[in-house]
Amino acid sequence: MDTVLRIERLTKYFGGLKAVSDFSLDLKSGELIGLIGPNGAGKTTIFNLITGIYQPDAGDIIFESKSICGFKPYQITGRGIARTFQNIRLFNELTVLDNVKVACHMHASYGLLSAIMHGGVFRREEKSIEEKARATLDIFKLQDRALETARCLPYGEQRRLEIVRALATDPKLLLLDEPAAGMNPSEVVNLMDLIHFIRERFDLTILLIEHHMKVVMSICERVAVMDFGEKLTEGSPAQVQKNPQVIEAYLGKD
Amino acid sequence: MKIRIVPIIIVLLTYAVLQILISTGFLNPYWQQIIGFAGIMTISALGLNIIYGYTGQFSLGHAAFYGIGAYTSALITKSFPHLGLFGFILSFFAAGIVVALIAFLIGMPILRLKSDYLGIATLGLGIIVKVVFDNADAVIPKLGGSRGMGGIAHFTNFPWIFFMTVAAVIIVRNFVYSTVGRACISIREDEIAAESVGIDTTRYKTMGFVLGCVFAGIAGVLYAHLYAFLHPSNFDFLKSIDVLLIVVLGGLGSISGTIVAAIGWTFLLEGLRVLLPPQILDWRLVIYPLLLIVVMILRPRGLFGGKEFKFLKG
Repeated sequence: MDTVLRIERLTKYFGGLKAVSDFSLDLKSGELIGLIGPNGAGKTTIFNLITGIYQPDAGDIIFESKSICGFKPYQITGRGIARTFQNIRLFNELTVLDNVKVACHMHASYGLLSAIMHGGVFRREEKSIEEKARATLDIFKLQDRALETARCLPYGEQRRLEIVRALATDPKLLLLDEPAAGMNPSEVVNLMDLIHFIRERFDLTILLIEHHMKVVMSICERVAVMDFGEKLTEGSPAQVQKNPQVIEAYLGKD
Repeated sequence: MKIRIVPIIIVLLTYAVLQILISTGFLNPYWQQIIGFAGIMTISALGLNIIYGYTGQFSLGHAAFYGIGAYTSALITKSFPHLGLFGFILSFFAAGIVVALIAFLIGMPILRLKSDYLGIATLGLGIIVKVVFDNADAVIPKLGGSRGMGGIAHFTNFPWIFFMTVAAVIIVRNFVYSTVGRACISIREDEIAAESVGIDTTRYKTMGFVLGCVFAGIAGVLYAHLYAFLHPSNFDFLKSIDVLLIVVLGGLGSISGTIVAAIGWTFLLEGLRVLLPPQILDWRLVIYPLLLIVVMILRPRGLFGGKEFKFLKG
């Protein structure tokens, strides 16, 4: 298996605070990897570094054999990395369909002038965007919600829509930031099925931040544990669970 | 483009009725000018609606671009009077290009700012432009400076205003229901999320800003050749507030709301002048803000609250 994403000795400071320190991780094609750690360990900072929201102070991020450091977030999305957010960030006032259509924008190739003229190019491109967005909603059984305002969806469906929107950018690597946060047990089960499903269907590599141990331990093949910006350990869920350092980070020491 | 028959008939009928009323002298030149001004305000407010209502960039400098358009075009038609109507048409392009260029150069650095901070920066821009107008005669005497610029040809008539307004409405509508428009709206909704799904936010913020400013510039061209006299005080900070007020009153992100509010606001202002007895005429400046407060309490998201007339939908 070839490496999709290689994080090399990544370091990020916020003022005097070392948020991420010497963090390395390899993601192989098709893997599903969990990133866990106590609150404030630097997990979301890693996501923000990968997606270009922050620039690292040291280290490198290599996606498909090319460094993506210094790229803007939209350029990184263009290369094939999509993400969801810890606190859902939908386009609240837009319809479910338009939320997905915005994510199809990257593949549209008409400009302002065609938009204003509403000519042939516009019609062709809009038709293909519409078809793609509808098809994506169909896959996730959100087609009946297409014309509802995103804000009005139930919580679980908002989370689902955010994943759908990320997938509409045709990613190769998907970063999920606490997808199970705030979900009830039956929604969590649905989510686990969903993650399995999208991974097969879209041929994805997935990096997952999650606090919900049941989710992490049952669906991830490999787990990396962080504490205070550093990687404590990495291994299979079973190995990690037994690791004394991990137990200490989560529960403290006598 | 899918041709819709009913709206076209409505537009042509409205035009015919108004044109007949004007030609028969039923509407005197005073009211004709007010109708013209309502159209101009509609175009300008549609521009600000693109910037603030759709792209979510808070601008308090709209009148500056309105003024730049007005002065640029007036300078051209005044400098080349022998070109006649052709000079007027030329001045639209010139004003559009000058405004677009200035909006682009200003927009690049200041659109990095968010909400209130962007408001202050654009406010500063408005003040700078006003000072430039005040002293412009030192460089180009024709611009008149603080004495005002007179002797501009009366090219703007009812058909010009009417069809330019219709064109502005069509352009905004087509813009909003396109992938470019959706990209801009997504920035308003959540800039970080927009960037995360591959939207080049800098590019689309700038695009929305420039397009909206060009609308103001075009409105300025019509204004200059309607009143035939320009004075810097017509383009100060308070004029930016007027447009902002119309956009918020109509409902951010609503074309229908902007049109209704722009026309309603213009007629209210002038209507009160006619309706009120002279001794309490000055009170109209109290009455209309009061009306505003009432509307905002009853309809906090504006008259249309993001809704549209059916024929303006995508």
